[in-house]
Amino acid sequence: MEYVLETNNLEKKYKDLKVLNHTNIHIEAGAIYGLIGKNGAGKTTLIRIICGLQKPTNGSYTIYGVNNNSNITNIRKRIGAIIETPSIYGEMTARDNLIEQYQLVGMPNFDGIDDLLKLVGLSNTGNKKAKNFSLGMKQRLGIAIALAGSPDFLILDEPINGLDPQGIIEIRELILKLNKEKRITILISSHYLDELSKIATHYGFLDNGSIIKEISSKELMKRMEHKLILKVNNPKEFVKYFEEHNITYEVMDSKTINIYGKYNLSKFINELSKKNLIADEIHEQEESLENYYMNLIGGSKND
Amino acid sequence: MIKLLNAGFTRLRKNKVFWLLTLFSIGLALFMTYMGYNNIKRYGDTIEVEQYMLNYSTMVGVVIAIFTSLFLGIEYSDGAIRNKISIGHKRTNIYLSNLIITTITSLFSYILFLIVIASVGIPLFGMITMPISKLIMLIGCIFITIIAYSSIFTFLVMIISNKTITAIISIMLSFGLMFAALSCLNVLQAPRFIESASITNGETGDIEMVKEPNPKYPSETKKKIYKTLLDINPAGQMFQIAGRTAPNLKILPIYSFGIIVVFTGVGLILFKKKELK
Repeated sequence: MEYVLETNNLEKKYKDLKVLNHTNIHIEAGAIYGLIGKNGAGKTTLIRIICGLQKPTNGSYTIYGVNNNSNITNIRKRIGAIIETPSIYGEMTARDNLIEQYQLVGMPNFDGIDDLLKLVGLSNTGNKKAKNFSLGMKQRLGIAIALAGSPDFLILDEPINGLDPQGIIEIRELILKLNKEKRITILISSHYLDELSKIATHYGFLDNGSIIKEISSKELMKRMEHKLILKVNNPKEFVKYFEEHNITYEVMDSKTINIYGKYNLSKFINELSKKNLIADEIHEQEESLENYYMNLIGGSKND
Repeated sequence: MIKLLNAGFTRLRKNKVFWLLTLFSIGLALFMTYMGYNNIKRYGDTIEVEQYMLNYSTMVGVVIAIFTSLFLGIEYSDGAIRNKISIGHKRTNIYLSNLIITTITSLFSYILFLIVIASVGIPLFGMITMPISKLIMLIGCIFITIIAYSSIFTFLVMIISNKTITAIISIMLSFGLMFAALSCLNVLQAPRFIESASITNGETGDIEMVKEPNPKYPSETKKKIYKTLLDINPAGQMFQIAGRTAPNLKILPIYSFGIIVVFTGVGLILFKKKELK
């Protein structure tokens, strides 16, 4: 499968500090890819590299099949991006900012500007300078600027940081609209997991510079339906049993195994005991994205 | 590159700093001619309009430093450079387009000053007395030095990337270059002998003027070094052009050209390697 974006063992070092460590992500066309990670996990560094602001220390990436070691600059014309803060000239109006961007991307005329302003809900800002906009308005103008070249791939780094609830809803609806109506592939990084869970079709979990899990939202939803957490002394025997019975599981650490799906607890324990598999503890849990993420990074640390 | 220049000039037209620079050039020219006219009326001075045309060159470095650091500094603080790279513009083109825009604006500012001085000054002070070819040569040298100044300050903005720090360093550097040039001129213009008075007869109080070698008079080697430093320094070039004291005017554009090549070359190499945030 050809991905919109694929990274291969991407590494970024600042002197002795490894910010990205063999990072591999795969973004399919049409996806809204939620890049999840705590502050300092490497999300922004990864985005900076993809956007050409920084060079990887090792590894490579491809955008629409074009490798970063070849003519990647040209393919970036298919990208629109907001990296950390939107690129806006504060002294200019929303319209003037878009005129500037239209010239930068080489649009033949300014016909689409009114539609773009309408799309992001900034039609009525008139002569108001962008520096006097609210954070949400700036963020929406940033998205309009990123959309000026009709990109196929939109990169949004922490687009809802600092926004009020109304602003968050507006950005969320805009992202969904762009993905559904304009078929734009979107990479969105955030640590607002609840918000991401409302829009993302795929997730990549980044921890300590490495992608520890990539999962589609469908698969994640299945796993999030129900979960049994087993504390065991002999995980190998349990794993063998789960493999034989096609049970979705995940070894979290040397004594903890998670089972995903809905099970009748007493029947399940009974089945296990028939095979002499006795768990020290069994907890039933309904998982949220937040729980899933916390378990994932906890698990990865104990691997 | 054309797209970058189009967008850059569009931004320039909407930029406050550019309009302040334009007003400053016109205002300074009007102020200088007004002061000159006053001097004619009060003291009967004779004024050469061409001298006024050349005088602005001595301070144009400071003006270029302020304009370049404020106009281009925004490119980093507002995230414009990030945006330009992420939508597929080459770093070389970004650097060169910024250099072209600041250079053209700085030249425009000087040309505007010249136009105002000529259109107001000539009717007030009379025609240019210097041979036109000589004046064109001097102004041509000023233009090349303006490009050299632009290349230095564009280099600083594109490499430092912090608007406030760039503005401080650029302005300090422009003044520093002026003071360095004045120091060089001071050394070079030191007289070979100095006169000191000594009393030959204590009772009558007769005074004899004695010529003594000036200890601060530079040696030939020192002179060569200071002269070269003065010629390389854009502020030194401007002082010599405005004072019409450059013995070898043709050498100055060569030094300016060297500054342009070195600063732009090194700037491009560093900017291409620069890790942007």
